[in-house]
Amino acid sequence: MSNEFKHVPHISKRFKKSFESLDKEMKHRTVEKLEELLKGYISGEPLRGEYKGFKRIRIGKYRLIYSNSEPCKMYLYDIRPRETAYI
Amino acid sequence: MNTQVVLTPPPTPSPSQALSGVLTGSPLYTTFLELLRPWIERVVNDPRVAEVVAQELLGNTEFLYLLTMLSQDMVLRVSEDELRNAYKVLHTKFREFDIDIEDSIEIVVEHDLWKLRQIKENFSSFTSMYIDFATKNSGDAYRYVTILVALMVLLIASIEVRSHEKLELLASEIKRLADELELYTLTFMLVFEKDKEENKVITTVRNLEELKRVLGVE
Repeated sequence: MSNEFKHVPHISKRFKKSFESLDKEMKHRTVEKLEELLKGYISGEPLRGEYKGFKRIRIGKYRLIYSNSEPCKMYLYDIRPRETAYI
Repeated sequence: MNTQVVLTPPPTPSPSQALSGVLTGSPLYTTFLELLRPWIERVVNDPRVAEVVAQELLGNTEFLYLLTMLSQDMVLRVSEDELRNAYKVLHTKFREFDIDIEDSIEIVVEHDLWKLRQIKENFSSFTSMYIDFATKNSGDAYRYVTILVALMVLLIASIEVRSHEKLELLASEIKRLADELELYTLTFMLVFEKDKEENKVITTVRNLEELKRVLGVE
Protein backbone atom coordinates (compact mmCIF):
# COMPACT_ATOMS: atom_id res chain seq x y z
CA MET A 1 0.00 0.00 0.00
CA SER A 2 1.43 3.41 -0.98
CA ASN A 3 1.66 5.92 1.84
CA GLU A 4 0.38 8.84 -0.26
CA PHE A 5 -3.19 9.87 0.39
CA LYS A 6 -5.80 10.35 -2.32
CA HIS A 7 -7.50 12.92 -0.07
CA VAL A 8 -5.53 15.46 1.93
CA PRO A 9 -6.79 15.33 5.51
CA HIS A 10 -7.63 18.64 7.12
CA ILE A 11 -7.65 17.94 10.85
CA SER A 12 -9.95 19.91 13.12
CA LYS A 13 -9.12 20.88 16.66
CA ARG A 14 -12.11 18.77 17.77
CA PHE A 15 -10.82 15.68 15.97
CA LYS A 16 -7.34 15.97 17.43
CA LYS A 17 -8.69 16.45 20.94
CA SER A 18 -11.05 13.48 20.62
CA PHE A 19 -8.30 11.32 19.15
CA GLU A 20 -5.97 12.12 22.02
CA SER A 21 -8.60 10.90 24.49
CA LEU A 22 -8.74 7.41 22.91
CA ASP A 23 -6.96 4.43 24.41
CA LYS A 24 -4.00 2.90 22.59
CA GLU A 25 -5.96 0.14 20.85
CA MET A 26 -8.65 2.53 19.64
CA LYS A 27 -6.00 4.94 18.35
CA HIS A 28 -4.48 2.11 16.37
CA ARG A 29 -7.84 1.02 14.93
CA THR A 30 -8.70 4.63 14.05
CA VAL A 31 -5.42 5.19 12.20
CA GLU A 32 -6.00 1.96 10.24
CA LYS A 33 -9.46 3.13 9.27
CA LEU A 34 -8.18 6.59 8.40
CA GLU A 35 -5.57 5.09 6.11
CA GLU A 36 -8.25 3.15 4.21
CA LEU A 37 -10.46 6.21 4.06
CA LEU A 38 -7.79 8.67 2.95
CA LYS A 39 -6.61 6.32 0.23
CA GLY A 40 -10.16 6.10 -1.08
CA TYR A 41 -10.74 2.41 -0.27
CA ILE A 42 -13.78 2.95 1.94
CA SER A 43 -16.55 5.49 2.38
CA GLY A 44 -19.08 6.30 5.07
CA GLU A 45 -22.82 6.85 5.30
CA PRO A 46 -23.98 10.44 4.74
CA LEU A 47 -25.66 12.35 7.54
CA ARG A 48 -28.95 14.07 6.85
CA GLY A 49 -30.35 17.45 5.88
CA GLU A 50 -27.80 20.17 5.33
CA TYR A 51 -25.13 17.86 6.75
CA LYS A 52 -25.33 15.41 3.85
CA GLY A 53 -21.76 16.35 3.02
CA PHE A 54 -20.66 14.79 6.31
CA LYS A 55 -20.30 11.04 6.62
CA ARG A 56 -20.15 8.44 9.39
CA ILE A 57 -17.88 5.43 9.62
CA ARG A 58 -18.27 3.07 12.57
CA ILE A 59 -15.20 1.92 14.45
CA GLY A 60 -16.58 -0.29 17.19
CA LYS A 61 -18.64 1.93 19.44
CA TYR A 62 -17.03 5.06 17.98
CA ARG A 63 -18.09 7.08 14.97
CA LEU A 64 -15.57 8.77 12.70
CA ILE A 65 -17.24 11.85 11.24
CA TYR A 66 -15.72 13.52 8.21
CA SER A 67 -16.58 15.52 5.12
CA ASN A 68 -15.15 15.24 1.62
CA SER A 69 -17.42 17.64 -0.19
CA GLU A 70 -14.40 19.38 -1.75
CA PRO A 71 -12.23 17.49 -4.29
CA CYS A 72 -9.09 15.84 -2.89
CA LYS A 73 -9.76 17.33 0.53
CA MET A 74 -11.05 15.48 3.57
CA TYR A 75 -12.12 17.38 6.65
CA LEU A 76 -11.74 15.18 9.73
CA TYR A 77 -14.41 16.49 12.06
CA ASP A 78 -14.51 14.12 15.04
CA ILE A 79 -14.08 10.61 16.38
CA ARG A 80 -16.97 10.30 18.77
CA PRO A 81 -17.99 7.58 21.22
CA ARG A 82 -21.52 6.37 21.37
CA GLU A 83 -22.94 7.66 24.61
CA THR A 84 -23.04 4.27 26.28
CA ALA A 85 -22.55 5.97 29.62
CA TYR A 86 -26.21 6.85 29.29
CA ILE A 87 -27.27 3.27 29.98
CA MET B 1 -45.87 13.04 1.99
CA ASN B 2 -48.05 14.21 4.83
CA THR B 3 -47.10 17.81 5.61
CA GLN B 4 -48.83 17.48 8.99
CA VAL B 5 -46.06 15.15 10.03
CA VAL B 6 -43.29 17.55 9.24
CA LEU B 7 -45.09 20.12 11.36
CA THR B 8 -45.61 17.70 14.26
CA PRO B 9 -44.29 19.42 17.39
CA PRO B 10 -40.49 19.11 17.56
CA PRO B 11 -40.42 17.01 20.72
CA THR B 12 -41.78 14.08 18.73
CA PRO B 13 -42.12 11.17 21.15
CA SER B 14 -39.14 8.91 21.32
CA PRO B 15 -39.44 5.14 20.96
CA SER B 16 -38.30 4.60 24.53
CA GLN B 17 -40.86 7.03 25.87
CA ALA B 18 -43.71 4.99 24.39
CA LEU B 19 -42.04 1.79 25.57
CA SER B 20 -41.68 3.16 29.08
CA GLY B 21 -45.30 4.36 29.12
CA VAL B 22 -46.62 1.02 27.94
CA LEU B 23 -44.58 -0.79 30.60
CA THR B 24 -45.90 1.45 33.38
CA GLY B 25 -49.46 1.22 32.07
CA SER B 26 -50.54 4.80 32.73
CA PRO B 27 -54.00 5.79 31.40
CA LEU B 28 -52.57 7.88 28.55
CA TYR B 29 -50.46 4.98 27.32
CA THR B 30 -53.29 2.48 27.80
CA THR B 31 -55.34 4.60 25.37
CA PHE B 32 -52.32 4.86 23.09
CA LEU B 33 -51.80 1.10 23.17
CA GLU B 34 -55.47 0.42 22.43
CA LEU B 35 -55.27 2.66 19.37
CA LEU B 36 -52.04 1.02 18.26
CA ARG B 37 -53.24 -2.56 18.86
CA PRO B 38 -54.21 -3.47 15.24
CA TRP B 39 -50.95 -2.04 13.91
CA ILE B 40 -48.85 -3.77 16.58
CA GLU B 41 -50.45 -7.08 15.65
CA ARG B 42 -49.55 -6.53 12.00
CA VAL B 43 -45.94 -5.87 12.99
CA VAL B 44 -45.89 -8.90 15.30
CA ASN B 45 -47.07 -11.02 12.35
CA ASP B 46 -44.56 -9.51 9.95
CA PRO B 47 -41.95 -7.07 11.33
CA ARG B 48 -40.96 -6.09 7.80
CA VAL B 49 -44.14 -3.99 7.49
CA ALA B 50 -43.09 -1.66 10.34
CA GLU B 51 -42.26 1.24 8.03
CA VAL B 52 -45.53 0.92 6.11
CA VAL B 53 -47.40 0.77 9.41
CA ALA B 54 -45.56 3.89 10.61
CA GLN B 55 -46.58 5.76 7.45
CA GLU B 56 -50.20 4.71 7.92
CA LEU B 57 -50.11 5.84 11.55
CA LEU B 58 -48.67 9.20 10.54
CA GLY B 59 -51.70 9.70 8.33
CA ASN B 60 -54.09 8.90 11.21
CA THR B 61 -55.47 12.02 12.90
CA GLU B 62 -56.22 10.27 16.20
CA PHE B 63 -52.66 8.95 16.34
CA LEU B 64 -51.21 12.41 15.64
CA TYR B 65 -53.42 13.85 18.39
CA LEU B 66 -52.07 11.27 20.83
CA LEU B 67 -48.52 12.01 19.69
CA THR B 68 -49.05 15.63 20.72
CA MET B 69 -50.24 14.46 24.15
CA LEU B 70 -47.21 12.20 24.47
CA SER B 71 -44.95 15.11 23.57
CA GLN B 72 -46.39 17.08 26.48
CA ASP B 73 -46.00 14.06 28.75
CA MET B 74 -42.34 13.86 27.74
CA VAL B 75 -41.69 17.48 28.64
CA LEU B 76 -43.58 17.37 31.93
CA ARG B 77 -42.99 13.93 33.35
CA VAL B 78 -40.60 11.53 31.67
CA SER B 79 -37.24 11.02 33.39
CA GLU B 80 -33.97 9.62 32.08
CA ASP B 81 -34.22 6.74 34.53
CA GLU B 82 -37.58 5.71 33.09
CA LEU B 83 -36.10 5.58 29.60
CA ARG B 84 -33.12 3.58 30.83
CA ASN B 85 -35.35 1.13 32.67
CA ALA B 86 -37.50 0.60 29.58
CA TYR B 87 -34.41 -0.39 27.63
CA LYS B 88 -33.13 -2.67 30.36
CA VAL B 89 -36.40 -4.61 30.14
CA LEU B 90 -36.06 -4.86 26.37
CA HIS B 91 -32.39 -5.74 26.44
CA THR B 92 -33.06 -8.51 28.96
CA LYS B 93 -35.87 -9.86 26.79
CA PHE B 94 -33.66 -10.20 23.72
CA ARG B 95 -30.78 -11.61 25.74
CA GLU B 96 -33.03 -14.33 27.13
CA PHE B 97 -33.56 -15.42 23.53
CA ASP B 98 -29.82 -15.17 22.82
CA ILE B 99 -30.28 -12.33 20.32
CA ASP B 100 -27.66 -9.57 20.31
CA ILE B 101 -29.28 -6.19 19.88
CA GLU B 102 -27.05 -4.20 22.23
CA ASP B 103 -25.64 -1.84 19.59
CA SER B 104 -29.09 -0.91 18.29
CA ILE B 105 -30.45 -0.36 21.77
CA GLU B 106 -27.51 1.90 22.59
CA ILE B 107 -28.14 3.92 19.44
CA VAL B 108 -31.81 4.43 20.28
CA VAL B 109 -31.03 5.24 23.92
CA GLU B 110 -28.40 7.76 22.82
CA HIS B 111 -30.93 9.44 20.54
CA ASP B 112 -33.77 9.46 23.06
CA LEU B 113 -31.76 10.68 26.03
CA TRP B 114 -29.96 13.31 23.99
CA LYS B 115 -33.31 14.59 22.73
CA LEU B 116 -34.89 14.47 26.19
CA ARG B 117 -32.04 16.58 27.55
CA GLN B 118 -32.40 19.10 24.73
CA ILE B 119 -36.15 19.35 25.33
CA LYS B 120 -35.75 19.84 29.07
CA GLU B 121 -32.65 22.02 29.15
CA ASN B 122 -32.44 23.68 25.77
CA PHE B 123 -36.03 23.77 24.53
CA SER B 124 -35.97 26.99 22.55
CA SER B 125 -32.80 26.17 20.62
CA PHE B 126 -33.88 22.59 20.03
CA THR B 127 -37.29 23.67 18.72
CA SER B 128 -35.73 26.26 16.41
CA MET B 129 -33.19 23.74 15.15
CA TYR B 130 -35.85 21.12 14.41
CA ILE B 131 -38.25 23.52 12.71
CA ASP B 132 -35.40 24.79 10.55
CA PHE B 133 -34.40 21.21 9.72
CA ALA B 134 -37.98 20.20 8.87
CA THR B 135 -38.61 23.31 6.79
CA LYS B 136 -35.44 22.98 4.72
CA ASN B 137 -35.44 19.17 4.51
CA SER B 138 -39.05 18.03 4.54
CA GLY B 139 -38.21 14.64 3.01
CA ASP B 140 -35.60 13.88 5.65
CA ALA B 141 -37.89 15.16 8.42
CA TYR B 142 -40.67 12.84 7.27
CA ARG B 143 -38.22 9.94 7.12
CA TYR B 144 -37.00 10.77 10.64
CA VAL B 145 -40.50 10.70 12.09
CA THR B 146 -41.28 7.50 10.17
CA ILE B 147 -38.20 5.83 11.67
CA LEU B 148 -39.18 6.94 15.19
CA VAL B 149 -42.73 5.64 14.86
CA ALA B 150 -41.60 2.38 13.22
CA LEU B 151 -39.09 1.81 16.04
CA MET B 152 -41.76 2.62 18.60
CA VAL B 153 -44.09 -0.03 17.19
CA LEU B 154 -41.26 -2.56 16.81
CA LEU B 155 -40.11 -2.09 20.42
CA ILE B 156 -43.63 -2.47 21.78
CA ALA B 157 -44.15 -5.55 19.58
CA SER B 158 -40.89 -6.99 20.96
CA ILE B 159 -42.29 -7.01 24.48
CA GLU B 160 -45.24 -9.11 23.38
CA VAL B 161 -43.56 -11.64 21.11
CA ARG B 162 -42.66 -15.03 22.60
CA SER B 163 -41.19 -16.83 19.59
CA HIS B 164 -37.45 -16.79 18.85
CA GLU B 165 -38.05 -16.66 15.11
CA LYS B 166 -40.27 -13.58 15.34
CA LEU B 167 -37.97 -11.86 17.80
CA GLU B 168 -35.10 -12.35 15.36
CA LEU B 169 -37.12 -10.72 12.60
CA LEU B 170 -38.02 -7.85 14.92
CA ALA B 171 -34.35 -7.47 15.90
CA SER B 172 -33.34 -7.35 12.25
CA GLU B 173 -35.74 -4.48 11.53
CA ILE B 174 -34.75 -2.66 14.73
CA LYS B 175 -31.08 -2.91 13.73
CA ARG B 176 -31.73 -1.56 10.24
CA LEU B 177 -33.76 1.42 11.46
CA ALA B 178 -31.50 2.18 14.44
CA ASP B 179 -28.55 2.34 12.06
CA GLU B 180 -30.34 5.06 10.11
CA LEU B 181 -31.54 6.81 13.27
CA GLU B 182 -27.92 7.31 14.30
CA LEU B 183 -27.36 9.43 11.19
CA TYR B 184 -30.10 11.79 12.37
CA THR B 185 -28.75 11.90 15.93
CA LEU B 186 -25.31 12.86 14.66
CA THR B 187 -26.81 15.42 12.27
CA PHE B 188 -28.69 17.15 15.08
CA MET B 189 -25.60 17.09 17.30
CA LEU B 190 -23.53 18.69 14.54
CA VAL B 191 -26.11 21.42 13.98
CA PHE B 192 -25.65 22.44 17.62
CA GLU B 193 -21.87 22.46 17.19
CA LYS B 194 -21.93 24.73 14.15
CA ASP B 195 -19.49 27.67 14.24
CA LYS B 196 -17.64 26.32 17.28
CA GLU B 197 -13.96 27.16 17.65
CA GLU B 198 -13.17 23.43 17.83
CA ASN B 199 -14.35 22.92 14.24
CA LYS B 200 -11.44 24.94 12.86
CA VAL B 201 -8.75 23.15 10.88
CA ILE B 202 -5.46 23.14 12.77
CA THR B 203 -3.26 21.21 10.35
CA THR B 204 -3.10 19.22 7.12
CA VAL B 205 -0.95 16.20 6.30
CA ARG B 206 0.14 14.48 3.07
CA ASN B 207 0.90 10.91 4.04
CA LEU B 208 0.59 8.26 6.72
CA GLU B 209 3.85 9.13 8.45
CA GLU B 210 2.81 12.76 8.81
CA LEU B 211 -0.63 11.73 10.03
CA LYS B 212 0.83 9.48 12.71
CA ARG B 213 3.26 12.18 13.78
CA VAL B 214 0.54 14.82 14.08
CA LEU B 215 -1.69 12.44 16.03
CA GLY B 216 1.16 11.35 18.27
CA VAL B 217 0.99 7.69 17.25
CA GLU B 218 4.10 5.55 16.90
